[in-house]
Amino acid sequence: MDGRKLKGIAGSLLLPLAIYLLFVITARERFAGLGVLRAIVIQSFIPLLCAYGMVFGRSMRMLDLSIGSRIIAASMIGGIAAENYNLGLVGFVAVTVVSSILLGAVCGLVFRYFRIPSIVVSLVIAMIFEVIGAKVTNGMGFLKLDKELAVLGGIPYNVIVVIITTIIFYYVYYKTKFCYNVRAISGDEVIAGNNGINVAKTKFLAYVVGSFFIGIAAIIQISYATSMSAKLSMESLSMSFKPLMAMIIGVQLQDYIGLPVGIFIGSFMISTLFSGLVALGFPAPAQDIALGVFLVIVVSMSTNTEKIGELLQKRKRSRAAA
Amino acid sequence: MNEKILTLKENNLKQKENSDERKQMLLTSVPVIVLVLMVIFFEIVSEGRLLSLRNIDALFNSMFSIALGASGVAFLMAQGSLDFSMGGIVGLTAALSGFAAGVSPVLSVVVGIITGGLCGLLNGIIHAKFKVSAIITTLSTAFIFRGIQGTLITQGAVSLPGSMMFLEDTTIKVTLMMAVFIVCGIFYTKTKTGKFCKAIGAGEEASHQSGIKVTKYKIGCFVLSGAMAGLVGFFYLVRAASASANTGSGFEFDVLLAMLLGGMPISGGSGARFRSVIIGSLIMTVLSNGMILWGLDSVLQQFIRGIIFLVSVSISFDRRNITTIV
Amino acid sequence: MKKRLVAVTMAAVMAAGTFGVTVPVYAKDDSSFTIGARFPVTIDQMQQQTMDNITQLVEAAGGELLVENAALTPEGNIQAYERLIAAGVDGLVVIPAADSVLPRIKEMCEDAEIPWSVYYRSILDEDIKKEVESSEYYLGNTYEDEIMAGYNLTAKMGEAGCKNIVLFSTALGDTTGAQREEGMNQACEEYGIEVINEFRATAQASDAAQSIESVLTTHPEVDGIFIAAGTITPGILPAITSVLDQYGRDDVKITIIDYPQGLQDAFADGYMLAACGGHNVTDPLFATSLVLNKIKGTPLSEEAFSVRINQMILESEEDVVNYFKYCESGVPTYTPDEAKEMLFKWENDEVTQESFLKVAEEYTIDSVIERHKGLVD
Repeated sequence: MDGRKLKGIAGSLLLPLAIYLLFVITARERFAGLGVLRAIVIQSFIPLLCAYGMVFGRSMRMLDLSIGSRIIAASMIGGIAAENYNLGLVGFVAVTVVSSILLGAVCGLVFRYFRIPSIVVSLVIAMIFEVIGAKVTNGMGFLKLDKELAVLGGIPYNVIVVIITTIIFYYVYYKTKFCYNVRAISGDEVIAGNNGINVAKTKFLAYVVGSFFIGIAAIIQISYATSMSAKLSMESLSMSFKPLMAMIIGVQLQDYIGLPVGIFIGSFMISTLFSGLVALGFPAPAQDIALGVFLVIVVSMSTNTEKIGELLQKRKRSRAAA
Repeated sequence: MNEKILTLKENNLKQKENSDERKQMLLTSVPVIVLVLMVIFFEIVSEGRLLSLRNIDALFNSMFSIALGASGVAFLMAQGSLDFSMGGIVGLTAALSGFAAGVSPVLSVVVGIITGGLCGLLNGIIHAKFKVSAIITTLSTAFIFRGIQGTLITQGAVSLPGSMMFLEDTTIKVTLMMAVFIVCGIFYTKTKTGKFCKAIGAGEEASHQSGIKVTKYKIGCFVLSGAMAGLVGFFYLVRAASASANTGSGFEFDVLLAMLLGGMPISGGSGARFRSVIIGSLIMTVLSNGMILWGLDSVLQQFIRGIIFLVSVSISFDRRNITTIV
Repeated sequence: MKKRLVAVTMAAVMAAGTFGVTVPVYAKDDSSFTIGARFPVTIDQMQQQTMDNITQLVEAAGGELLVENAALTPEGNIQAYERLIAAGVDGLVVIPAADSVLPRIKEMCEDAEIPWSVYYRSILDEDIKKEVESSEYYLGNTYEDEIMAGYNLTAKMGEAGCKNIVLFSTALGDTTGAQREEGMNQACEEYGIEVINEFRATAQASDAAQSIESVLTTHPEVDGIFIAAGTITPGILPAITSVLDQYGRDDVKITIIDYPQGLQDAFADGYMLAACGGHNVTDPLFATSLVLNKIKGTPLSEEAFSVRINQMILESEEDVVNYFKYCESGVPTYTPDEAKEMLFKWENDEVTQESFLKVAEEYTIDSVIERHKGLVD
């Protein structure tokens, strides 16, 4: 392993630690406890799973902001089916995941056959799927899950689910032909197409495969809160921002520590930031400012690592010369 | 014989060219056709209320902010960029304009435009200098601008002084809108600014190699977009006579939808046309207003809006110069 | 071929939408009229009940209701009411996002020469109040004592021994939220309570769960939660109580304004101290009645006046069961027949401003049960 990669791994692991320590120092006894760390890890699960779902499309430069509406619709369909037909926990999980995959397939079909940019598809899908979430609850706009069905939202079950899902994600992303195709397309779509890769099919599958992970995220989210509320007027779009940021950080770090760990680190950093600001007693607007600044700094730094490296080298040389 | 074959071939080529031209004309006319159809449809189902004098006034007022915002964003979209921080900029500038309005109306406008421009400058620097994608940049800065807005407005709302209420005047707004359309339209279509923006959208590297100062134009267009958002923020303040912590929320999506409905390609390039601003703003406003006059269930309104949006964009989306759709 | 298919689809959707029209807006004869109101997009049971109540009231008077769904922001207000006026409504019931939009709305209604009233709000700014009340078209407002509501609920937490509370409230700038927090702050001062953290306009129940989990781990001294607007986050109660269960914090007490889903369970689990509300489904009925009386030629007063709607305090699971049974199960809190007797002067000569105010003051869960025993059981 060369020095550069070692430095990258060290940097990737030090980054979340640095943010955590920053709040330990500033918030002191309110932040330095295993209970806080546990809460941060648990709160990073939902953005983590959503990011797993988004990364296949994003690798091919597609942008999907409709995951919020799909999470709401799939979890509500699963919850209602499980309660009305006494399907139990297994049935709830199965129906939610299958619903999510079907909804993802619809997205994929819209993208494939209408041939419009993915961001437009995501806005349209968000508008349409939000209606499903609203209508399926018969005007209540809200679904409360029975405690027996919400078991996966608590420790240790949520941890087990996340570990299993991460293993599945690792396998899919690194060991399947589908993801070799995704990576080829992300390099150069035209060349990949000329080399025999079915680009349209791969992009469609990105929606479908990603929706499996979105379905898991939906289960964890509704189980964690034991309820889910429908959103309209494209308010569900905001549910994709945290996962998007976690995914971007993960993609920047993937060369050093791999994508699954990279995304976890991204998600962990965002959860740490949020919890830290709560510990410091920051009001809501200040939390927004801090989150925005953090994202700008992290993404700018990770996009310009080479330039920063060159700058530091230059400074070293000029000091040595002096 | 050979001459006959040549003539036949030439004729076939000419026919194909004419057919391509007609197809192209039809394609670029789709947003206009959609607008006309929509107006006719809603005029019928509303039993003539859509085009009543009072409703036209209401339509214009709804369209005004979107049109101004879209005029600024058009240059960005020509480059293939998007601005998701417009709502945050509108809210922040509305609040600051409100505070400045207590001193003088002129200061209020100036503060709004300059603040918007500075917000755009921040976006432009992060995007152009630090090479962060426009979407990520503007999503992040949206949090910052909203947070500052929320910090400034801690109680109630910022009010407009009574002496400035006269600015909510249709004549002033029509004049301003016409001026913005003319100036921006000329810049977009007749000057090198517009051409360079489209060139950047068509191929950034090729534009750079051709001597276009890509960074300068990127930053400049973000500043313009921000300044226009600042102007919109000022007029939001004037129209509602106040600005709250929620002012501007969702504005970026209204503008984006309007531009897409107007036929603006999301990847920019030569297919970007300024008329998308006008047509798209009209379609957005007529659609929203029309469905209310129609008496549709509010949830169904959203569903139908989504379908119409999907269909309209898929018909009018220009795929000629795009090798890949992402 | 594809483009033709797509164009045909669009035409079919628009045609199909015609069957989604439930209320033909302009199918009115000479004696009918339209009232305009702005409502959020209704996916919530309480909001749906409220809209149904107003629709039935207006229809009982022989009119129709036209609803606009713009956001509750100052510019959303202006857009909504401008559109409604342009649609030709004969009267407006208004919920202002802030006092400062009222002069603009007053101007619009004066230009259109239509009567209007305000619901869910008091006008706090004295200058604006004077200006608005000077208009012959402004009929008055219906409101609740939000400061008292905030004070009472926080006082209950103080009496229960809470010293460190978390606030879940509306977005900054919302006047209702601001008044409730003012009441909360008064009680905090009196009982020595500290607000250790605040969360605003929480979008999803899972966000509320994360917020409270962060507080429990960083501020373990927390012993109370005040939710100033329960309808903003559907599912907030089950989300919060499930996190409290996980952390074994049954010492934490909750009070809430509004009656969201999950309230009954929260009382049953022992977390709820008290809930204040019940006004949502009723307040707009009174504001609408002001406008209806004016349109029908029997105004209740020559001058604008304020109507205070009583808010119910629920303190047990049984109270909650009764509330939902009698107030949100489809039957309006004032049925059309009751409205004709108690609220519509043109139907009953004996209705006066004083009797109208009395009816509003006497709005309690017991009075509703008394009137609707036969209807609901």
